[in-house]
Amino acid sequence: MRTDRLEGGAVSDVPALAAEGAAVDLDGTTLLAPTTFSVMPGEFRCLTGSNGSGKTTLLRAFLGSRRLTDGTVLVHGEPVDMARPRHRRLVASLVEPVPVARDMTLREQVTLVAASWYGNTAATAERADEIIGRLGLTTLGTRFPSQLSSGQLQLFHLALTLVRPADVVLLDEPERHLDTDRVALVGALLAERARQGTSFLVATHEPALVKAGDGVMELG
Amino acid sequence: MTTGSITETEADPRARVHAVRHRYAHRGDRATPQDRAYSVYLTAILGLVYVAPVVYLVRTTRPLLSLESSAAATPVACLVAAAAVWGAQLAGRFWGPLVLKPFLLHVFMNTDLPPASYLGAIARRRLAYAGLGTLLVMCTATFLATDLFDHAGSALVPQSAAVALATGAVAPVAWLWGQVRTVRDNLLLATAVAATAVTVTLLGRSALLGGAGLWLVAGVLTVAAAVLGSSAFRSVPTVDLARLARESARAAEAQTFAWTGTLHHALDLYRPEPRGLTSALTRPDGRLRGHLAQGAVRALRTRGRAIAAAVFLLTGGAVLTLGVTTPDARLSTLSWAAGAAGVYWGSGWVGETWRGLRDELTLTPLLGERWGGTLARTLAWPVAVVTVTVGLASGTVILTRSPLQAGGPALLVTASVVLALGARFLREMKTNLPIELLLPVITPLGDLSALRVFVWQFDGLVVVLAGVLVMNEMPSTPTATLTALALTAWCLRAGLRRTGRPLRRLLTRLGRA
Repeated sequence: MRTDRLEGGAVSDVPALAAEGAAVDLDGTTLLAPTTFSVMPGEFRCLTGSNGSGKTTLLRAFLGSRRLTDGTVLVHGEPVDMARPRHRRLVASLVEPVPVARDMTLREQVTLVAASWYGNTAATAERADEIIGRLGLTTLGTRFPSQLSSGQLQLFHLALTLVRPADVVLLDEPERHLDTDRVALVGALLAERARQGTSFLVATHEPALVKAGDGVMELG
Repeated sequence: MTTGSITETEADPRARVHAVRHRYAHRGDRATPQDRAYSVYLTAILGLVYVAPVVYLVRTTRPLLSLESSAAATPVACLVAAAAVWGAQLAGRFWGPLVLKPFLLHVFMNTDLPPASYLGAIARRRLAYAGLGTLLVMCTATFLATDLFDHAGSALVPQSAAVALATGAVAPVAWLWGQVRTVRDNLLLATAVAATAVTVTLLGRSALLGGAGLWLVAGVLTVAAAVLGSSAFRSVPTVDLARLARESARAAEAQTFAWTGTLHHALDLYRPEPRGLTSALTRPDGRLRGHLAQGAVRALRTRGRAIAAAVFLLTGGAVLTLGVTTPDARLSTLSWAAGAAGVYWGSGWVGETWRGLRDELTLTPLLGERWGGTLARTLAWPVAVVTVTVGLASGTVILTRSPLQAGGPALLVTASVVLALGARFLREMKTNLPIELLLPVITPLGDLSALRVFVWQFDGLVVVLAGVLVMNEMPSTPTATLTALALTAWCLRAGLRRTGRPLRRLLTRLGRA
């Protein structure tokens, strides 16, 4: 069984994310060995490990799209259940592939996601413009997805994920296709959001992101 | 930015759903009123050119089914209603009314909005459209195939209209039920529908109801629509969103294939995933099993489809033989064509080896071209299964009909099965849409290239149906058989040409043992 190696400072007594002996076996193959750790509110924690060590499986378990075969995972002290509106309210994720609309511009799509939370209020445009600006996508706002490079698409996916409010954000390799500057940009943004109270659990192979976070949990 | 920080600015759920829908509806390349008007114009033109002559021909001939009394019409109504419910359930399992555009569903799914708030309105609107469509199809089919609407003053007219209306109400809710309820619930409903249909048929044919059998059918369907509808809508809030997301993604991909003229690629997306028997292809000593055993193992890995294939082959074989052995009966041609179509469909679902044949003949042979035995490896299983299954069904029908006829029916059944297999080969060799099909075909009736593309999409079925109709018109059994064989030879040649490789080289390769 693994234990948490992070010496992070606790903000609240109830962890934002907690795994207790969480394990996944599929037809005799171990996808995730028993794992125990927690992420406190406002903490930015990275998950590292070799391919197949269970990083994505653990993220999916917190998301609710992968059932555990042993142990438990909790979000703010409550069992994970995607069918519960409260779970969907608390957790934002970029773990599974994000479908995009080929006939809507980048700005339109980010604004649409914001509108799903703020309706037709001024906050919708504000939040969308803010995240587009923070990720350096302002000049690309009028482009369609087919007109974006792989790295720009990754930033676009991050914008779709981060434009909504969330207490917990799960990210699977957010550094995919990004150059060094953009990785630093994303790392800084996540750290800033964490200071505002959002908890992050990020599976990554990127040392710069690990450095930007509050701690690391190594699987495998 | 946590969820606690948005409580002041967050809109109420209804406003949030409205905001998303409004923005999504006003996206970039949505259809304009002119686009919609052009679609209506095209539909009207196609209807006038292709449908109107068919309607005229059908109306000027004797109706297919003469239903002069309620006792005669009730069984037909029960069968049609049951088929509508079963079909709707099945459609719901693959493409239900809750399927949305993947991006839109992703946006809604990543909120705390209850699913009923964004799925309910869409479901109600689609069910209303589906109900109207079902009603239209039911009335058109009744008008064309029966004489129920022929006598304006008849008591059967309002009864038939009520049955059509009730079927239009129950089929859409069965569609929703098929999507939101479990497989077990759907099987239970299908069984209940069968039992109810039999009971109502028996009651309708008895003297108890005094000619009000169709009213009973309409009443039962109305009650079923209310009960099923209420139950299905109660299940919407608990719908499995992850499964819905997968269905929506698959539907969007399939729609793209269908719109770009490759319907067979779209259908490929709905092939079941193989499960189980993971080490059954090899013997305990490590050697591969024989071709038939391999085919059987691979078919059993997708049991649902294998069962469907067996049902279609057995039923198709029996119906085909019935059509062939009763040449004077009015329904014989229909029965013959339906049976041949059943065999054609069943032959495709019986295994994956057709696909192996296409891949071997069209893809680059990475390990060289010296591998022989392609035909035995890929065709042994489907041909053997189709032959044995249809032979059993056909033999049973021939033996149970007296007096026994000479070899004619058996020869016609064999020719029809060979034709169905040839058409299946033609269909399975299909790859991408040939570019030449997009060239205009100018005729006095306008550009018919769309018709050519449409025929290409369903070429196997078209060959089977056209072949049966031509065989039916032939003066003797040998001529009909020769016609079927000629058509099969054409299918084989056309199928091989679809690989894009020289015919002679291809035949040499296929000839290697």
